[in-house]
Amino acid sequence: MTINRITVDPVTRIEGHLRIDCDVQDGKVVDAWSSGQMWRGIEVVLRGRDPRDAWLYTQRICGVCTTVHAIVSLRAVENAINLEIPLNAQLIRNLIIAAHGIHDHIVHFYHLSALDWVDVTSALKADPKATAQLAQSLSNWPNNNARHFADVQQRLKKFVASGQLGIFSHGYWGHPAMIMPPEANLMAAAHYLEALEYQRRSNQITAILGAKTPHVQNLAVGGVANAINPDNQSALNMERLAYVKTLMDDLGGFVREVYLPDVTAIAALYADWLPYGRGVTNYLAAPDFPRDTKGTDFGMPGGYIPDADLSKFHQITHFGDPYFESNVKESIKHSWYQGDWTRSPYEEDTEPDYTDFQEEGAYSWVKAPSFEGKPAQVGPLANVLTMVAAGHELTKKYLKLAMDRIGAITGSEVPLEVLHSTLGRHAARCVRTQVLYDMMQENYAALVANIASGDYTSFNKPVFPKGQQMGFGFHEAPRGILSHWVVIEDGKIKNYQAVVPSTWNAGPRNQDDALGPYEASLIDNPILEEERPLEVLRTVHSFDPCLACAVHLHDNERQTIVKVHAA
Amino acid sequence: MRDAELLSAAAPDRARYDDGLWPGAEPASTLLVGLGNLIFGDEGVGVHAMRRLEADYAFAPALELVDGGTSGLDLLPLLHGRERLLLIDALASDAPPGTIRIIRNRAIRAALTEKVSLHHLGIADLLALAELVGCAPPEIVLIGIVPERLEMQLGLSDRLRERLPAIIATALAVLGKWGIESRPAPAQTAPEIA
Repeated sequence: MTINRITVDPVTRIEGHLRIDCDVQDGKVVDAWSSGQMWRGIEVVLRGRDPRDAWLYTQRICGVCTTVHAIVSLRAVENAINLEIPLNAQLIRNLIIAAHGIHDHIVHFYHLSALDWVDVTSALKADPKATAQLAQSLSNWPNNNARHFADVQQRLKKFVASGQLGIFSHGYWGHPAMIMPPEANLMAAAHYLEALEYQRRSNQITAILGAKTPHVQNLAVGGVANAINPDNQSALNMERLAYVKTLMDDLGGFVREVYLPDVTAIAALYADWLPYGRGVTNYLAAPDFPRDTKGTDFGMPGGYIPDADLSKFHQITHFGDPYFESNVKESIKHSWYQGDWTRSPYEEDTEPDYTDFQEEGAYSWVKAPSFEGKPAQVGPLANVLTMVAAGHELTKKYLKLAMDRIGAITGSEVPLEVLHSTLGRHAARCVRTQVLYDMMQENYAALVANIASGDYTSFNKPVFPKGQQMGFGFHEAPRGILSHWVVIEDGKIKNYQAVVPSTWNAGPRNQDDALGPYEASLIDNPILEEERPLEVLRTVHSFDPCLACAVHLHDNERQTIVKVHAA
Repeated sequence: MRDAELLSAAAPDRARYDDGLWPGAEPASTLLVGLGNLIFGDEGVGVHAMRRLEADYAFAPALELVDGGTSGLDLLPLLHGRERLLLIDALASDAPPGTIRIIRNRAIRAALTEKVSLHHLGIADLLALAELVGCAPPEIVLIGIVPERLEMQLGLSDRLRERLPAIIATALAVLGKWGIESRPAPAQTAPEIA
């Protein structure tokens, strides 16, 4: 049989510019290449600068993950100079992390990936009454009624009739792989719109705590810049904290009654897809939500699982853990940089050497990271599996809830094995969102209690000694483990590297030619129509790609390309 | 303006806790958003222009100025309750670097609908969604500037730095047509832009 090459360039509904090439034989993907098409070199901008300012720059790396790059940068610099931060600062950072994470996961599911599974044009044909019956069988959400669904359907009809599909214009409408009934499609489309309102609430939490959004301004090496005073109008006071609590509670309702029921229902309706998208099953996740000033006790544990074997779990126990520090390497064998090395991020350089797309040679701007010498998958699935391996009760509870819901619709118990898949990554993300919500409540209660005890401190002044210091920080960001690595000399930045989640997942073949997680996950994916490779998008989107280069120029000239040719 | 100041709020006392999001707060009826990536050379021209407007002018009636960075969908909450929206952003085009284009209302989306934005949900998508959920401001203007140099660095190219006064004048003219008067702010708050 012939092998056809499909090139999707760029992959849409993601941040940054990603190209995916697949070889397809007999309706299945037999080989794949993931190519990051933009060059990101934050170290070029940071070299020679004041380490106290680094977070202001790193928060501009990407338009989606602003706060995560800010927080991990602080952790890296604080680790380098061995600086503890006050408990209030730790807890306020944790609240921002939780609000951002919940927001990001909701946006990812509804606005960036739901359209791979939900056919909006089919929703126009749904019966609103039957839609209400379906939705009410899944949850008690007050807007799950026929009048609301009829109203949404009217708005969608008007929007589609206007001929400006905008946000919906890149959907593969009517594709044979879209198999949900019209009512399920209308329900999901209605929740797509409601999700926007809840996205607004999580933004408000960040705006109150971070003093500003999209780019927070309240952070500092050594803590946070928030003045804490329960009685002062212009400080972080009890009135503001009470408002944060209201917003949090609202958000919890949406996660529990809408997001989790939707993901589990879609996973059950697409049960045929549960075997696809397995890929790399070495999983790496950072512990996060530190409960102490040092970062030795975490609300969410993390570590490394090789070969999907939870019994071989190795925990990462504290900020600065040498187990993590010594096992992260990056290789440039298949990347557009000068030389051929595998190095620790501390020792990397970034000398571009573009050669065009060479499938046996260099074909990506993304480097290939490895842990213990192997590629690792990162993200919510890695996070959930490592937490289960660590015996984290909250995670086990919500994972069981999700699996039971899927099983209730498919009519048979679903084994945990199905989590190693495209849909498994979506399910894990909504389980993680539930855990994040509980973390947000825990950290809120701890902050209020600590302030009530009379502790108003939020900042320890950093001191940079003469000579050289090295440090790294990690953070379990929405797309997975993020680490920043800094070398400081005489108070100035000498080297700075960011190993971002999408580098782990979107990386090309490594030093041993092992496939990166996107590439491996595409193998054996079915392809019904080569001209409309919806299935490729499903699997790649399930990782929540973010190529993090944030060039976002208004572009009048670029066209979507799906090229198919016999190879 | 020091680099770190450019990246943070221009004037710390202007950093507000609510940014119009506090319950009961009445948002200014006109919103100006500077867009772009500040660490990618001319990509950040929209934010440079917005910072300059924020530092050098006072407006009446009140105007809210926002550094939108590279956000797309995150800006949606800011659109609620606005009558007019002015966007300033870099624009990819074959026209010579420094060219300033004014695009209005539907034409903004029409020009971009069938194209692919380089970030996950672009401004065209943001405007489409705003329309779908019923919070699109009735009047929207995009001032687009064709960039010269796009690479990892903070400052603008010489060409675009020379064009900043023209970009500012264009923005002030659009605001003037909307009945918003501008006057120079007191000199001590006017920083130089590197």
